[in-house]
Amino acid sequence: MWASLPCDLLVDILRRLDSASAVVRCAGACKPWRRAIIANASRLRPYPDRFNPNLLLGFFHRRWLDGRHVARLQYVPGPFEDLLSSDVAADTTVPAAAARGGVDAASYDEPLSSRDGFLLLGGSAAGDLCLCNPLTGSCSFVPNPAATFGPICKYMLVTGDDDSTPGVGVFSCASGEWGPLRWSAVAEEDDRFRPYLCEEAKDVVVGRDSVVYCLVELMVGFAHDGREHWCVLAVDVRTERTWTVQLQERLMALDLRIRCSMIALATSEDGRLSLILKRQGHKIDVWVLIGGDGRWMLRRTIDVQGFIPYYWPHFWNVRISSFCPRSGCLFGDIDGQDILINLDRGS
Amino acid sequence: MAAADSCDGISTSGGGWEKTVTLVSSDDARFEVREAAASLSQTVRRMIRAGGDGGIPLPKVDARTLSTVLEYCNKHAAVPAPAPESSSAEAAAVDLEWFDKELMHVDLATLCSLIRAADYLEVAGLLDLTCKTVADMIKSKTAEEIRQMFGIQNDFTPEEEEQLSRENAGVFE
Repeated sequence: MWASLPCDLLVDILRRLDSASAVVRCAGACKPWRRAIIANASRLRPYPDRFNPNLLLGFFHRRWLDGRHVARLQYVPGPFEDLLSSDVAADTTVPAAAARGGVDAASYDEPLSSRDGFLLLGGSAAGDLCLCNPLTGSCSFVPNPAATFGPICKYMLVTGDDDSTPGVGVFSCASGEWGPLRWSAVAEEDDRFRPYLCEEAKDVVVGRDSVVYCLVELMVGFAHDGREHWCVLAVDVRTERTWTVQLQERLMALDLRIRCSMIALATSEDGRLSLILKRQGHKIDVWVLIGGDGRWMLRRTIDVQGFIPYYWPHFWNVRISSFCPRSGCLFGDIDGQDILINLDRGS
Repeated sequence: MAAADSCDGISTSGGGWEKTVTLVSSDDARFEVREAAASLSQTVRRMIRAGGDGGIPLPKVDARTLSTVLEYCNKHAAVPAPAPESSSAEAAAVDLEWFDKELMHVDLATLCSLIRAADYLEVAGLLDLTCKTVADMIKSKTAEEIRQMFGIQNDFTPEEEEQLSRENAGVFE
């Protein structure tokens, strides 16, 4: 009776085990259990709320561009992205066609994001998104959240209303449905500010306690001093609470024209929010957020100069393109040459 | 809900005016339940909404299991929304916890059919309770103990088992 328990229910039980070793012991009980556990490994992590940050596949939001709404998927970097070349993506759409009874595989031609071995594919011709696991060839199809709120897999939706203020729709794991659309804390606090989401990969990270941080730019609504303000929009996936975290005061005091390309978000080893700031003189500051009151502490300064040959010309430009939460590495390039910086070791 | 909590707690099995529905188990036993309790099952709730008469057929649940599920539903649906800081709300929570614990004093076969029923009927609270109960049983057991407990055949060859324990060295001690 127990050996024939449907896989989903078995996983339901095993999800409630609080230690990985217990899951491994169960995997040694019999072959059907072992198969079930291996196939569902990503669901079996001890996250009490079922939100698996590693499955955060994208940040969706709508932009107001040229007088019309444009739905955009924000790319969230995953640990496998380097391995997944575009031809791998093309290959994986073949089983997609089979699973769907001859749908045009070519319509899912655009890899949107990858995370933990899953690949999210979209396409201009396809109305929905395809989530597939290239290793097993399994595919599932999800409605495009930009178009509709359907009960789909775990990721987050950011969308906006006519005023381009991003609202945050959170996939509520408890009910299995998209949660209600909440306005961001930013918009409620001050009408003069209009938050704009950054669009680069380095600007969304998942911290501990299932909090998703996203870098936003506050535009002063009308006239004023015209300065841009940056802050971090935080969304707790479990409670759907949103709030903002101010950036380090000294950073603001520098009165630099802070550009999107100069800052990035990351997480420290223990899941705290870190802020990466590129300074002049080829140095990179790593700030860590301490406590809930928005205090930042300078954790280390990394001198990029040390990584490059001494004869390198001086007009080079450091670009930070993404952060991998699993390895704790920052990925970027110096004048087109790739670099990988380990934030915890500073190497 | 508001009417139910004015009566004193446990055995308010519905004044004559309260809406009830009839559920029919796989072995044709009929259960009359308050709609509020039956609606804890999302499956039943959908069927109520869809309408129909002559009772709601639940062909995947037998009478014995269904009566346990309904015991759970009746108890949990009777709980009014907790009034903060009231001692009676706290007492109700303690009572409910005790009730849940007692309900789980069943053999493994019953537990298995309860999990299947809770899944089929989509009673989220009961599914959580039953799965947690089983997880607690598994927690500190070795693979062999787990097999014995659930009556699972060991389908690994000695070689495979050898390999498993090498791969999982440390986990098996």
